Amino acid sequence: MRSGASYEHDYELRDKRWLDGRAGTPVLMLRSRRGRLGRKLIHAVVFAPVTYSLLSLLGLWWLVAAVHITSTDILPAPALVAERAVELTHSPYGSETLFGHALTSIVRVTAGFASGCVAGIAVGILMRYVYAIRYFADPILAFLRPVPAFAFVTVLITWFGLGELPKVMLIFLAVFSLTTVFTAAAMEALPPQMQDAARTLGATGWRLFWFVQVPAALPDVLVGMRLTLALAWTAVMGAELVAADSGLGWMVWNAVRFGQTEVVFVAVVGIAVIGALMDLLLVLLTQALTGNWRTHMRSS
Amino acid sequence: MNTTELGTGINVAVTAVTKTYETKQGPLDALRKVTLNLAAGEFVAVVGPSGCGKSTLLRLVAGLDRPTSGEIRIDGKAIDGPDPRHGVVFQRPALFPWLDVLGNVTFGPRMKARAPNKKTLVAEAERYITAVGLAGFERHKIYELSGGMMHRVALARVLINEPLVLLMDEPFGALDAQTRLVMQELLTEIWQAERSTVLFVTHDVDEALLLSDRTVVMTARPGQIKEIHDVTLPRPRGLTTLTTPEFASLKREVLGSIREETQRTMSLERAEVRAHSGDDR
Repeated sequence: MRSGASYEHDYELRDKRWLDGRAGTPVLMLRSRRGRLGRKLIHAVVFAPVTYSLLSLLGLWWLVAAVHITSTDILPAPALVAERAVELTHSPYGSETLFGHALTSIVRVTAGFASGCVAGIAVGILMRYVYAIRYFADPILAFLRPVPAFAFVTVLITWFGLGELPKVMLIFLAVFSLTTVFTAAAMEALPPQMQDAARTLGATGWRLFWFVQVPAALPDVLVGMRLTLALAWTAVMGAELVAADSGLGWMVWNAVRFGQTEVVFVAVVGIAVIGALMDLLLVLLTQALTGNWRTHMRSS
Repeated sequence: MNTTELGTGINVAVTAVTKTYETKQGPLDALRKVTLNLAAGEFVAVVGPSGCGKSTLLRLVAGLDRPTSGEIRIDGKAIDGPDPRHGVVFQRPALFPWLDVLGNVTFGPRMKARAPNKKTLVAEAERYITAVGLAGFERHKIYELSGGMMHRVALARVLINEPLVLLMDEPFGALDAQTRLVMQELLTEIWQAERSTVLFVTHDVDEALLLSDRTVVMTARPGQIKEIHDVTLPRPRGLTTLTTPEFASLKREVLGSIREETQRTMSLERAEVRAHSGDDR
């Protein structure tokens, strides 16, 4: 019989191994420590939690498709989707190949996300410091925020035509309205004793802002950016719904229209992979900028 | 001890200072008509029951808050906001976790309109990091340090600004007894070398008597100065000082005085609670 306490302890140990990306039996861990770098790397990938979780998802997909609960039109098997994806890398679907569509969407998302972040962070900071701007912008943003980006699609096309501008604008709007909120909140994250310390050490004006307020706000802003990046990918689906002939979002809508389920899956997996990789970039940026200290804001 | 001639520090004059906070229950005097003069180079400790406004007093002298009435002059000049030459050490080290030890210590000089060049800066910082016994820890992250080490960094970070006045708000309150003793000795050493004027707020009577030239006892809220004790114990003081009869009698006197005030605070709070529940009914 095990007591509850010892079970918890056991669980914690196991949990840490998972986080290390070295889950597996202790025997395997010992072996990897003796091995060379290449072997260690393979080991790290093979036993990384991400590998298990993605493989099990793939396995579940394969299983459901294999037992034919549903028809291939509703859930194509992974192999079928992979086959179609490989085919689409060289033969165009509509105007472009898979890579072309992916690149188009990446450019739109990146442009909308980057401009939305820059403008949103700027306005968020101004809202923190300038009361006139806060009182002006707050109500407008409060109305803008709950409206899904989708709702603006036709309006933006009417206003800005059929080019790239309305598509990027749509993503911009989705990112911008949320960025202002979390930036304004992040600017308040500086613990009062840290601000007092900075002031008594001689920090005033822009120096207080740049050397103290900005680094203190950075962790919260970066978390917010990860959320709005996901939102940008949601918005690109709307942007490519109407008056578009390219992009992963367009691929989804077009394939749905013609009942090409496996193409829908190719595009969806494409969005998932690119979105996850872009998120990984943000995670790495967060790690580089705020590394280990972000959890120590309150304790120092 | 005649401290007025020793100092390179500057004098601090607190005159009839009152600080009133607006609360939901109406205005509340945290301090009432406090007058206190610190001679240049003098070490003054302030003790009193909790909530008596000692920290408020320190914040006012630091320029972080403004008095409701009365005035505070440092070296004859009315204070106008915080000043790096009026160093403040807080109860919590309040270090910047995104900077390493060196970055924290050089923070003050880097905030100047004309920051010194990097080489001078590092050499200067090195001197103070060594002075607080942290040589070799320059590149350590803040969260890698122990509580005592963090307080040393906080002290070095203030000292590099060459403060003429050192304001300390229970700086060692959160430390364990051993570390506190080491920090007290370090502070005494530094004070004797630099001779800045020190205003030291604490709730620890031993600490106050061990460090100060004069110990001020404050009353329960609203904070007023109840009495001032000259601490004439010979320096250098240390562990042996704590066991002398002079120290014991002085401590008894001060403790008794604070005890009266603590009891008053508690009865005051009880009365407030009664008045409060009366409102609700």
